[in-house]
Amino acid sequence: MSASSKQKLKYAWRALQLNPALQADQVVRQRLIGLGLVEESTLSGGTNEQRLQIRQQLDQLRDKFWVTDTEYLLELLDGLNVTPYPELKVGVARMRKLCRVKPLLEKLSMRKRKDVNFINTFKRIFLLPPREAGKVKERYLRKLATNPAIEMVQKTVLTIQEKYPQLYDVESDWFGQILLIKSRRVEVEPDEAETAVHFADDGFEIPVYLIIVLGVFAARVAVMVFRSWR
Amino acid sequence: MSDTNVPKPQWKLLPHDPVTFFGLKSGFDRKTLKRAYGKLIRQFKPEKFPEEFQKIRAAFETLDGQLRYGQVQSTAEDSQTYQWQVSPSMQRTEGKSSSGKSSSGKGDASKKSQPRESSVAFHDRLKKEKPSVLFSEISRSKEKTPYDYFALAILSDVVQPDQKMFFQWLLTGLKEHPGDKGLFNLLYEYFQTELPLEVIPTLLLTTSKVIREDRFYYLTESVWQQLLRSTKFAVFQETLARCEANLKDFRINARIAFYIQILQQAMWRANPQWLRKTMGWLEINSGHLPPQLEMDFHVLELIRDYQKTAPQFVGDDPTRRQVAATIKRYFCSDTATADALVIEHQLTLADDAESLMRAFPASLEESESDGASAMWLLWKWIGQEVADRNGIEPARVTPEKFLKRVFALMVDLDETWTISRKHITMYCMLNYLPYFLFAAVPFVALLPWLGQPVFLAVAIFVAIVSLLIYHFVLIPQTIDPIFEKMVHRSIEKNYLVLWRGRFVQLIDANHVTMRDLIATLHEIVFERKHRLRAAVHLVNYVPQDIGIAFYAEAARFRV
Repeated sequence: MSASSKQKLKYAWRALQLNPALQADQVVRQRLIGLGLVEESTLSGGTNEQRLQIRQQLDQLRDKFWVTDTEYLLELLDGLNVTPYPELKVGVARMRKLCRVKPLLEKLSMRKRKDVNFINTFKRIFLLPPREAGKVKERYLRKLATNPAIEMVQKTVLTIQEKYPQLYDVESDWFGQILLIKSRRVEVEPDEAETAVHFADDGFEIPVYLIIVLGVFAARVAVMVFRSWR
Repeated sequence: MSDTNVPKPQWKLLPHDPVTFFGLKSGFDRKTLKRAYGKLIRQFKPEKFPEEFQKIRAAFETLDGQLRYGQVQSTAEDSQTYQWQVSPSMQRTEGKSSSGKSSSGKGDASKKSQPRESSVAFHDRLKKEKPSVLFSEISRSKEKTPYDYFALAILSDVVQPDQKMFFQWLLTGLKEHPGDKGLFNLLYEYFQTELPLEVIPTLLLTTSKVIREDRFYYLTESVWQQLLRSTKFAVFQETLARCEANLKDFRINARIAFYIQILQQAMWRANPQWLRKTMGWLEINSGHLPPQLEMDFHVLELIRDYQKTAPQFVGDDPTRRQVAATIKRYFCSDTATADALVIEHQLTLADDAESLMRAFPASLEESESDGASAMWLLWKWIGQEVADRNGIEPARVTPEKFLKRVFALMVDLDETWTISRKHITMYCMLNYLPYFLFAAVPFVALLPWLGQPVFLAVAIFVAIVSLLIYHFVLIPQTIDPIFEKMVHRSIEKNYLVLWRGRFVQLIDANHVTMRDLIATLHEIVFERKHRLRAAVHLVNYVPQDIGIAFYAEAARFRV
């Protein structure tokens, strides 16, 4: 990159009007541009405008995700120059990942045995920005234990894990949590519920059979003592 | 979106008066500056207000650099007294065709500027005259003003092929007018740019022969950083030694400030001998450490601890290795590259919570804990620096709302915990069975003689004493701790398997800092005293969970 003499002259003319005690940064900036050492866009904040533009394009691609051909989407993503913008780079990498698993999600939606609400939530999370997606995921987990369809939800997750591992990878930590949650209804087994008494406020339960065993033992000792005393 | 309650910044104050621009009072420190800066960039986020953000950041960096070297001046006052270029009309009316004067030049008072042939300002003359003519005319002048040197530096870029001449003219000007602020600032800004590596040692050496006092460190700091990044350490070491040999009048504070900054980078590349010597010098002079540099010095200590303990912790784990690599690259790159690197890595970590949790488990081996904590402390500091510089802040959740969410989660988690049947049996065996045993044993032992009242009395007495000892001594001292341990282990298992993941989800949904999370847990457990069984132990587990801490740090970078 070399500057023309006209460009250099323009730089000199501009710089000589500046006061370096107060505008030294601008003088040096004019110099870099004037001598063709740096592109003006790199210094002028143009990169940030570009960042904003790419972010908007990415949002548009998200909006059209379900109705656009995957190959075409990938092409558009390839066209975005996100190398200088780390947050967009990660965003685009995720979109690429989503494009690759999109057909799997469509296949999953076609399956008969599935929880529709769960699939819809997953589809929503799929494309939401991370902060928004986090809220939806947390809310879903909080309500899952009392959800009557918890077994079906967990079966669906297991199906994803077994049949569509790439899809599972997209939200593996969330899926993992879903599988760990136990339904409150299922958790307390009937035999345990019937044979347990609550122990004060500390939440421990003493099995009735143990009390009976200890009672019998105490009675036998008492009888022995009574007999020997007589 | 800019906050409507916050007063609008006075942009006209930049770049000459950043102190007033940030609304700082005299005697302000770096913490106050950082706070003021943070407030503004929250209002002017880089993605929405790129130009404003750049102006604010440039002003912040200038002030921060000046503060480190104790060089903050009231530039507003200076700008009133400092006259750079006398306007052409003034030159004509006064008949003194000085094309510029500096009120700050040390030697200027005695030197009168030579009358110049033309009283038209240089930039106007450029419209009609050839730059080479103008250049020769100024360079021929016997006594040059700072403005002349400035013009020569600029015009040399047009008429001379060697770009180094810009630097040469500025330096010659400074030699002639050592106190001139304009030339000094220009040289400072010139050194902030990316310079060709092969000329850096020469530039530094030449500068050290002209600027021979403490200002040298402040002026050249960023060039040293460039040199350190791009060449062998030996070249850096040799150049520095040669330059320092030229310095005559440096205050120890400027040297301390310089070394503290340089060491953050040098500690990753320097030879151990140089490092030992330099660190030793800093430690000996730590008494001179100004308050504004205490944090930077602390960072050096963090790096030293990290380098000592982390390699063992890092081992072969890929996530830990990546974090270690990013830490090193952060310190060895220029600010923009380092920031981009950290942001990208944080987002990658936030995207893969599972690997992160595996790499940083809740309970670590004793041999690993020092390394893990050193890595975390350094990572946290880096994260904070990058977030502050780039206006990245945690999501704004009202404390009350967040407290409700955490409490809801704790209640939920509490319900998922039940102690196992094995533990209950064990508890009853340990707690109740001995009562019967202690009561029965004396009677069984004395069974053949129980008919005699004396033996019966002895049996009763021994039984009562045994029961009392058991109840008041043995249970609190042995049985309870054993059982508590069992319960804790059970809760811990629950935490590791189930609760930890839910906390990841909670952070993901709220993007709060680890500090806020811990404060909220404390409030729920200790201040509000909500009745929870096992979840009260979260107040112990969460703050010690390095994986959660890393995740919270990563999640704040998500937008």
